[in-house]
Amino acid sequence: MLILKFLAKLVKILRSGISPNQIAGGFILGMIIGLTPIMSLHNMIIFVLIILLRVNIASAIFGFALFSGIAYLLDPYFHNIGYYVLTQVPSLESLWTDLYNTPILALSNFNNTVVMGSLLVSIVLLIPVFFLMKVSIIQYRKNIEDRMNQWKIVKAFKGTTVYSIYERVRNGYRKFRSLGD
Amino acid sequence: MIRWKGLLFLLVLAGLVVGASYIFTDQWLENLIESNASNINGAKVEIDNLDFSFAGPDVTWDRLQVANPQQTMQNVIETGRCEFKLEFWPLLSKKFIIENFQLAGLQTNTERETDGALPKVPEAQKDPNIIEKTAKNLEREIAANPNLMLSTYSRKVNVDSLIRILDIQSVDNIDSLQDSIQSGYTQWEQRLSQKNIQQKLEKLESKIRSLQLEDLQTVQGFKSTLNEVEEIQTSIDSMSKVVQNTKNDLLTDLQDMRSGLTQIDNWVKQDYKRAMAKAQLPDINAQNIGRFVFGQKVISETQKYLGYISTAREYADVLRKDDAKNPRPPRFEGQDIHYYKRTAEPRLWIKNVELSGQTANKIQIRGNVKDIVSDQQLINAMTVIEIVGDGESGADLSIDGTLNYLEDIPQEKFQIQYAGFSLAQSNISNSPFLPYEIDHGSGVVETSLEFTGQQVNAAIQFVGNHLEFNYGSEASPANRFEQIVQTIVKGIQQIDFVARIKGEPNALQFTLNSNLDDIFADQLKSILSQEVQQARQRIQQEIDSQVKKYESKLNSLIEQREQQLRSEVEKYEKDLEAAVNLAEKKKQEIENRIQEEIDSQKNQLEDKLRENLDNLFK
Repeated sequence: MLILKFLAKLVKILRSGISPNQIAGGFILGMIIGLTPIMSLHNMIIFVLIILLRVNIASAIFGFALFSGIAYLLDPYFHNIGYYVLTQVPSLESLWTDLYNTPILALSNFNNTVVMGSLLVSIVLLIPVFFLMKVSIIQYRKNIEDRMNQWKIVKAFKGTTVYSIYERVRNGYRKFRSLGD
Repeated sequence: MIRWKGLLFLLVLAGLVVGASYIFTDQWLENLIESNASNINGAKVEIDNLDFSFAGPDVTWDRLQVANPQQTMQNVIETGRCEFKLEFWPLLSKKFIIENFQLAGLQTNTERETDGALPKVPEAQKDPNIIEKTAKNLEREIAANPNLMLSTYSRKVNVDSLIRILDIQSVDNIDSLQDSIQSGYTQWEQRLSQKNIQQKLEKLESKIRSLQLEDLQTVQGFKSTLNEVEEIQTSIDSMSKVVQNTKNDLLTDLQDMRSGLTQIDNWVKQDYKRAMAKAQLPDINAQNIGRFVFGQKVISETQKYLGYISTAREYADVLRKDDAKNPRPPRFEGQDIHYYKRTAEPRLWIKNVELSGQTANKIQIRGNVKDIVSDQQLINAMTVIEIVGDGESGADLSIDGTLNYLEDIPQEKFQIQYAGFSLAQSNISNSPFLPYEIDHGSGVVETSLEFTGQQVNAAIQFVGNHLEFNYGSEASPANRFEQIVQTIVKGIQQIDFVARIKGEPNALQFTLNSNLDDIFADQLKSILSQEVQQARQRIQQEIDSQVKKYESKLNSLIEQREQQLRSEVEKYEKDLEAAVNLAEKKKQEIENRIQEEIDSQKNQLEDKLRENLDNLFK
């Protein structure tokens, strides 16, 4: 049931008509929050960026949910990566020492092994995931969306009262949003 | 590019957060401090009405209670109103720097209204640290107190009944010795009779006597008789050797048998020892009664202080850098790595604590604790404690201490002086030697405690002056021991002791010397010594009298039998000598006769020759 909900959410985003850049941008910002421990200073900044920038909030939420699960599985590896970077690279020790003793930056918890490891991984994944997401959206809209609309189950679902109510609400919401913009 | 509605949303959100923090920060901070402090303490730490102000930032609270983990219905400390200001910029580096911490209304060992125990969480087994080991080993020291056999003082010595049950083993031993000596003598008698020395000697003598020289006519005959005598002499010589060897063996054996007598003294000593053990007569020497009386209390107090030092050392270690990899930290928590800069501030630094309050004994205290810090090496200063106090009755208290973690080897030093305090209604010991409560008196305690690495060096000196004891409402003591103790304690006006604890946890030396050692020893001696001495003498006399009977019987047996054997051997010697003389005499006689015969024959031959010559010239 949860997987179906997930998939439905994904399809909804993909079909939303919002630009792929916005969806992908929201997705990667959500990925960062999902991969790293949530109560970190950088996540506040990411949260502000999600609100301020014109990225898709739903895809950000989707990215956060998806990568939270992945982060749980990868936590021990983040710890190992973070410990290595923080203690086993002598050339970085003076940098870490200065950051540790710098106000505000010390609050970022960068000296925590999981924070450091997960942040590094999410930075490394930023660009590849962005482009992967963008290409996937374009390809879905170009090749897959129409085919899906031909599925019997989709057709059957669109004939239901639930769907018609949903469409009315969605159209109304879009009108409301367009007024604001 | 910018979502302006989002900006509005963020501003509203920020406003809500600021508003909420004004409303909820106090409660949140209070819960956070209580939770962390409780985990450190091992029992509840409770704060009442914490108020955090962003302006300072200042923190104040009305009351702090720190429960005692060992007695959770009691607080180790309780404070009144406290306030301190946190320096702002270090907070942004997660550093807590407090310039001055005002701590008022400090009290110790106060009662709690609710139980201060935390929910039981299975603790990981951890090895005891050096100070915990020392505290444990002190317990063992006091458990090894000699058993002063107090029951021996509680009754008079009943010598008569003791004598009835005396088990004098010397008598049986002497009997056995006698049997063995008897059998030795019997063996000798048999040996001497088997040798038949007497018969052989008689035979030789009769042989000599039977040699009749009158019957001999010729020199040849005399010579053959002489040979016989010489043969007899040879036999007498060999007999003489036999007798000599036999005499030497006899003398050696007699010596050995006599040497058995020297064991009698040892047997008597053992019997005496056994009798003393049965009698359980008190041994009236200074037996370190002071250690028995005060040891437990001294060690309990020392363990308390060691507990505080152990906590200080444990958390000094925890707050220091420790970057050894934690292989399995909890999920999403990771491990914090700390970086130290020589010129940076420590993570925690309370520069000065001004405290005031009162102890459980109503001593008003005030003082300072300087430089409570997570890493002393960053500030290059050790923690210094200076507390003074005075009480209504003129008591003075002074506590000076330093916690020095600047070097690799940690060091803690404390000097505590507490003088002029009243001892009224207190028990300075729970031992039966001093069970009485004190009615009047004053005390002085001086303690120095030094812990350097694994070495502990502590000295505790106590003097109690002008003492008057309360002997209770009972008319007379329950038993003799109490009577004796009361008699002694009535004469005591001053008690002092010096306790020293030195060494490493596995090789701890605990000594305690007190004037009670000599007081009790001297008094017990004068009260009990005559009685005990008489008892000892009677027991000794009884043993001696019983043993003497058998010993003298054995001695006379030895004398008699020895004399018999010696006489027999001497007789053989005499008879031998007589035989030798007889043989010699006979030999001489024969030789004379031989000479006479030779002379006679020579004369005859001369006469014959003369005659023949005369005849020649006729």
